[in-house]
Order: sequence, then C-alpha cells, then structure tokens
Amino acid sequence: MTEHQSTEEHSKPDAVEQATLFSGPAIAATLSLLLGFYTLMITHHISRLSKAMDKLIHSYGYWIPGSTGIGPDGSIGSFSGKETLALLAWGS
Amino acid sequence: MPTEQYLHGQLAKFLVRTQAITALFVLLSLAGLDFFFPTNYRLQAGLHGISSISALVLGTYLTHRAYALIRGVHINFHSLRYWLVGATAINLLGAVSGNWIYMRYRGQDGPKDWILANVPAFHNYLMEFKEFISLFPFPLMLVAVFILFYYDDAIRARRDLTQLVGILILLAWLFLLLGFVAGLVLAKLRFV
Repeated sequence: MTEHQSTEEHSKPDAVEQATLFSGPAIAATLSLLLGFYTLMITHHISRLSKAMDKLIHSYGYWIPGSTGIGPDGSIGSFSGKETLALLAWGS
Repeated sequence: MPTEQYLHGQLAKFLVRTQAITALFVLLSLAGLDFFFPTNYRLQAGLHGISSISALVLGTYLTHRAYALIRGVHINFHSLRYWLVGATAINLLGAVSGNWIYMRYRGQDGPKDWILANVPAFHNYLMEFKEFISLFPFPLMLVAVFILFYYDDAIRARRDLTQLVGILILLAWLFLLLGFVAGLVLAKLRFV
C-alpha cells in the first residue's frame, strides 16, 4: 500500500510536466529539416533540366564566396544555389 | 586489498585515456598530413579532412549516448547538450570546408575532370550522392540540439522526445559515415 502510494506521488509531477510539454516545437523543427532536404533534391533535378534553369538555381547562391569563378581554383557552381534554397526552405 | 583495487582502477583509467588520445592523434594524422602534401590546395584538404574525421569521431561517440536515450536509461543531459553543440559546430566546419575543397574539385584539370575522363561513374554516382548527403549531419544535429535546449531537463518526462533525439543522432552518424567513406574513396582516386 505504502509502495503504491509512493508510486502515485512520484507519477503526479511527471504527469503535470508531461501535460505542459508540447510536441509542436520538436515536430516543427524536424519537419522543417525534411523540407530543406526535399528542396535540395528538387532544386538539383530542376537544375538538370536545362542550362537556363541551372543558371537560375545558381543565381540564388551568388552570395556565397567562391560560388562563381573559373580556372584551377574552380567554384562551387550551382550547388551554392541549391544550398541557399535548401537553407531558405529549412529556415522559413 | 582496497589499495590493490584502487591501483587497478587508476591503471585502467590511464590506459583508456592513453588509448583514446593515441587513436585520435593517429586518426587525425590521416588528414593532418595533407597540410604537407605537394599541392596548392593543402590547406583546404587538411582542414576538410581534420573536420571530417573529428565529426565522425564525435558522431560515433554520440551514438553511444543515443542508445542510452533510446533505451530510456538515466542520462546526463547537461553533458549531452554540450557534446552535441560541439559536434554540431564541427559538422558545420566540415560542410563549409567541404564547399571550399569542392571548388578545386570542380576546377580546371581538377579531380572532377580526371574522374569524368577515366572513371565517370565515380563522379556521376558517388560524388553526386556524397555532395548532398554530406550536408545532412549538421542540420540533423542542430535539430537535436534545439530539442535538448528547448525542453531542457523536462525532456526526461517525454520518452518519445528523447528517442527522437537518439534517432536524429544515429541518422547524423549514418550520413557522416557514408559521406566520409565516399570522400575518402574520391580523394584516393584523385587528390586535389
């Protein structure tokens, strides 16, 4: 009986704590991440459709140092645009 | 007898720490020696290699903590939060340095040109796969960090959330390992 009572006493604060803990923020954080990954995939496929589309996707990444350039040092290319759009989808 | 036990305990602690430090040092030299390679891109290569290996080591350690989270046993959340923050920062460095070395990969007469001319499948499948999945561990770990800080110690009452954090860590580790091995294969094939 004493044991039963003490279990109940212990479970009360847990139940109260559980009731005030909302799942929303964790779900939002996880889903936004998946949207970012999904954007990465979609933008990659769009960039493969034509040169013009690749240039369009690339243009979103011009803010990243090294996104454009030629020669031995190279550049990140349209991958910078895909990263930017994925970041935007993730953050928004 | 108690003195004997104490000595054994100290010896084990000393050996464990020595083993961990030796393993870390030797593993880091795998990429650290890139700094002395005869190439103009040794800095990018060394930095990306060191951050990738560190991220993998930290990620592997965190999988041990992840199983404790998934099983629901007692865990020191305070320490876990800071280990995860460290791993997230290292993963960000790995992604940023990855972008830096990727520039040379795509550069004139760089590894991409050589691979496409000789073994195109390694670029068309392996690199195309690697460049995307290598971006996954950082945000996965950041979400785990967010959940741990947002819910703070109250998360103990939510087993489903602690399990979610554990799964996020395991996923981050999986993508880290895949990206690391793919990167290593490509670097072996044609160095920058």
